[in-house]
Amino acid sequence: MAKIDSVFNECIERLRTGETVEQCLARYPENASELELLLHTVVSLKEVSSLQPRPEFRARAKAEVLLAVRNRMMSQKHRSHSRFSWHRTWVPVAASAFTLMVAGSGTIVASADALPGQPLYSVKRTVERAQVAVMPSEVGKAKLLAGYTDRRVKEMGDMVEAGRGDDIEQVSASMVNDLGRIKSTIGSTRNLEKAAGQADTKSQAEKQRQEDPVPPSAAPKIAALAQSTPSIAALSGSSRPEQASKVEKADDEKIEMSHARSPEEVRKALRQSGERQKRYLEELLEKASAKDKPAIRAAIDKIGRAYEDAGRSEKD
Amino acid sequence: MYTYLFANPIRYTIARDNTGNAAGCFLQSEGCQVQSEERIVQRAQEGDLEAFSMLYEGHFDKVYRYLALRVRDRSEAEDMAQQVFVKAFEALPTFKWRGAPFAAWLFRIARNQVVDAHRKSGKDSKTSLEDVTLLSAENIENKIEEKIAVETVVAASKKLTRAQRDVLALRFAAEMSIAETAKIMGKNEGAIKALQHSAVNALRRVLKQDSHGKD
Repeated sequence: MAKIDSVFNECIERLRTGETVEQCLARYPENASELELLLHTVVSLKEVSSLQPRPEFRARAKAEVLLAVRNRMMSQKHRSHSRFSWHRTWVPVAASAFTLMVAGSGTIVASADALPGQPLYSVKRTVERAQVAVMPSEVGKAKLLAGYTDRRVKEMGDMVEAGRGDDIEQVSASMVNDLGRIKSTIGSTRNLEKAAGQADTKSQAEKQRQEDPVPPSAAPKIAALAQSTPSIAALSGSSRPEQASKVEKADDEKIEMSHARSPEEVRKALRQSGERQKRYLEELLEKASAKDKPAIRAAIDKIGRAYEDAGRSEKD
Repeated sequence: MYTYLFANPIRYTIARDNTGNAAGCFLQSEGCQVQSEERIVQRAQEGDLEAFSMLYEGHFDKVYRYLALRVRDRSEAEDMAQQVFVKAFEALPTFKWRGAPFAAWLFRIARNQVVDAHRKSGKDSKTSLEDVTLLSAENIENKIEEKIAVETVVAASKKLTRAQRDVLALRFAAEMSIAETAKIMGKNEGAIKALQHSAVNALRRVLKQDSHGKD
């Protein structure tokens, strides 16, 4: 029996290199009758190697696994007697590397234009959640979320164009949710802000470093990624003006979300975004069919209130 | 000479060089720098997420395929494949490079995961033939034929013993060598060859029985 086991295995290996069943049988004529039946089963079995995970699952799974891994790295950071030797310096590097890896896959790039109800939409949303989760600063998280609300408005326009105006309610609900998260995220930095106001030059530099999640070593990778992920481009150091103002801008002065450096500047940029998105949706309403108008009106109303709430200044 | 190409500089691949050793490519400013899998594992152990991502890319499909044959339910296989990599990351500091490939260690984790799941559920998972996804066929006609063949094989393998299924999943879904399969299953190579023989023979009989049943 031992001999036939080995001969059979030898033939399996030969089939893997491209040999045919007949060629293998010719090598072992004394075992040919038994081998023939077995080897034809092996040929069927080889088809198993064509089993593949679904592409949308593959992309989502990678984002989720790397996010879980990254979270474990972060929690390890807080343990003084860890089996791992993660250093504090790994955290920003890991965050940017994570973003790069998660956003770099073909499926994820392809998911950028996905609309609700399409298979890749869950990939798009998972990547968004992952990017927010790994962003170390609260202001950075708020800016990312604000970028995603812009995406949601574009999705509404695309859905109306595609005759799916009835479905925009879930998009507007998701926007309201993200705007609520922006409010709570930048609200949690209020105490830090006060502390920063009393800080000396050294600590201001430290705060600036914390708000910039991109370590110098990761800059080329982020630049490569920026082509496929505009929101990352807006957050990377390269998109920041050379002379970023440290002084609060006047209320009527325009501020791009990507240039916002403090919670108050984020709120101001958010109020301006809210106005811009409202105008866009009103134009959409004018062009929309009678069937879609009620859903768009409801969205304008709901989103308008959410922007107002999230963008309300702490001074008000 | 390495047997892979890197069309997209952001993607990574684990491949084998002409001596059969696994290797991978790291993105560098000037292109790819080939590194041994041992070095990639070492970097992952030091907390390098990029290195861990390479290991994930290089092994995920095979781990999924192995699980698809063992648990035989797509969503269970998907969940489990993710858990395998998270567990692998957690256990990475304990991994020692002693000549055995990283894949053998990874599949031991996957196998333990299956054993745990079977123990918890108290029975094997059922297979849904609709759950099998195939991508390799060139045209629809071939795809349909291939799908029937794979689904038939997957369904037939359900009737084998766990050890027989295990050896088939490792040898044909995960494409492990006899030596690697022996390490993962904790048996000697002779025993694995015998088990492989009996598993294929059992599968042949089930396939024959099933085809007669349809006639």
